[in-house]
Amino acid sequence: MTTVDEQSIGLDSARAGTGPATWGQRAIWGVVTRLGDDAPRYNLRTDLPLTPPRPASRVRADLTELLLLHDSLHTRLLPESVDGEDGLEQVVDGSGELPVQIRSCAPEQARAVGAALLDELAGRSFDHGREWPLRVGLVECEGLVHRLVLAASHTAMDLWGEGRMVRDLRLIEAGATAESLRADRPALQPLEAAEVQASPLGRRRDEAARRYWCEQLIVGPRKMFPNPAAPGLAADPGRLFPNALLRSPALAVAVTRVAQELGVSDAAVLLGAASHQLARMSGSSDVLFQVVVGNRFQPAAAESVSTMAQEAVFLLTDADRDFADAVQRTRSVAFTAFRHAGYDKWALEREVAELAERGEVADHSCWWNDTRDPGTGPFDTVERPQAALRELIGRTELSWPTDFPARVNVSVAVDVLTAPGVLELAMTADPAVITREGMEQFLRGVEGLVVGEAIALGDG
Amino acid sequence: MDNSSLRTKIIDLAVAAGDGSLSVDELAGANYSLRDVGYSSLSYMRLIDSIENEVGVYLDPEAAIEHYETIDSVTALVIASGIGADA
Repeated sequence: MTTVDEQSIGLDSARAGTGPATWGQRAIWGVVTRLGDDAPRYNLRTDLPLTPPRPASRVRADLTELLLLHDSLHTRLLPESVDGEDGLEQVVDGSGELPVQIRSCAPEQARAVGAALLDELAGRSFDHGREWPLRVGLVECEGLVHRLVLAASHTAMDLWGEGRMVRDLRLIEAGATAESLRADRPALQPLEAAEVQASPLGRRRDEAARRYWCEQLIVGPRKMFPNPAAPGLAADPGRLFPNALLRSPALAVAVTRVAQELGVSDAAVLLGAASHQLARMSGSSDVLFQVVVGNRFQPAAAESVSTMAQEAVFLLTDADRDFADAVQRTRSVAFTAFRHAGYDKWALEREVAELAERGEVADHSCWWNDTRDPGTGPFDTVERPQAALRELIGRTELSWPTDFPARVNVSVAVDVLTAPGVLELAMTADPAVITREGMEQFLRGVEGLVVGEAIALGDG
Repeated sequence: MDNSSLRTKIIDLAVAAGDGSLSVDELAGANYSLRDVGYSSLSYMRLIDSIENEVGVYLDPEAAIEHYETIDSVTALVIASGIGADA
């Protein structure tokens, strides 16, 4: 039997302040606010088994330290009007109460009860003006907490930030405090980031980024898929977007070799290969991707639990010409694109809408998100395979894990992920644009380009 | 800051922005070429941020990656950008 209880975490004397929202907060707040009832799909979900189990009072104390460490976890976002323009204010509360939902059950039920509690917490929209962007649930068994579940609004953190939050919580569980962690590894707080963004340097970066974006959109291809697979489907808002997952040990091995040979990063190899393959398949020799950029270049930014990731516009012309050429030019184009990945998205959206009205905007519905942590490789915990690449490529797995509801302004979205022993490419695509066969052809094509190049280099 | 001090400062920032294993000696051994020591894209971005924050200059975001591949070319870019413009 499961019983239900509610407690709270009291926060007192934490850092407090008010200021303009950061570009990242504005960008995500704008998205989730527009989504309305669909906003919970952007909520971040964390399910943590506690080993060994801990008393609830200790878990609440740990979470208090976490809140003291990261301002974004006790921040509200309030719309405001600044000089007649829509604005957004971040309010960091120095004190308050965070509700904690408790479920008690038998130990063998803890996993299922935790999953249900997380569904409940993450399944509701956040009221960003009234509540903090974190919901907490504890699953107690025989008087101790066995699982901790956290639902967070995306306005508080991106995926990188979520990873830092979990890491910091584990360090706190092991004895660290907010004070010791702050001394060891200072983390950029959103109020500080907003101050930089509002400075003369920040304003110049913003203006340059938006100017670059618009320039690329003006010259980029009007249609990435001049001959879509099933254009009649595009009018059906109920169509489902298939999701394919390629898991490749061969790609994990080959990408490093090709990167070395071509004198570029493995990220450039993959993005260049994807651009080349897409150009060959789509009929548009110029390829435009919106590339997700973490924007966490400085150590304090890398430690930050906040939302900093934004999109860069990546336009590679003549991408179908030659694979090695595409990869080498990707290095240079991606560099410039990444230099323009921090900006006020609301302002950019207004400018893009004006371009669209004049019919001057490129198709920017292809997305690329290399989610890999540079500090984590596929062979950190498993041995690098000794088999030749020709044999290894036979171990590639392609599956179709799920389908997603139709997404606005998405024709193709590809995520790069690392897992032990493999490199993964996850692709979601609009069936009006590309068939399942086409998706498979794309994924296997990217893999084949990189592995084929490595084999040609003598790594067969 | 004279050009020689600026160059020394940029070497220090470049080493700090590296991936942890880069030393001044290794950089000197590669004739101060960041490309030849395998400088990662993340390191280039970190270096640019460091220069803007610590030297107090706004680096032209349109400048291609080739401008950042050696300490001398970075130094030239910083000088061309006007030291202290945003300090």
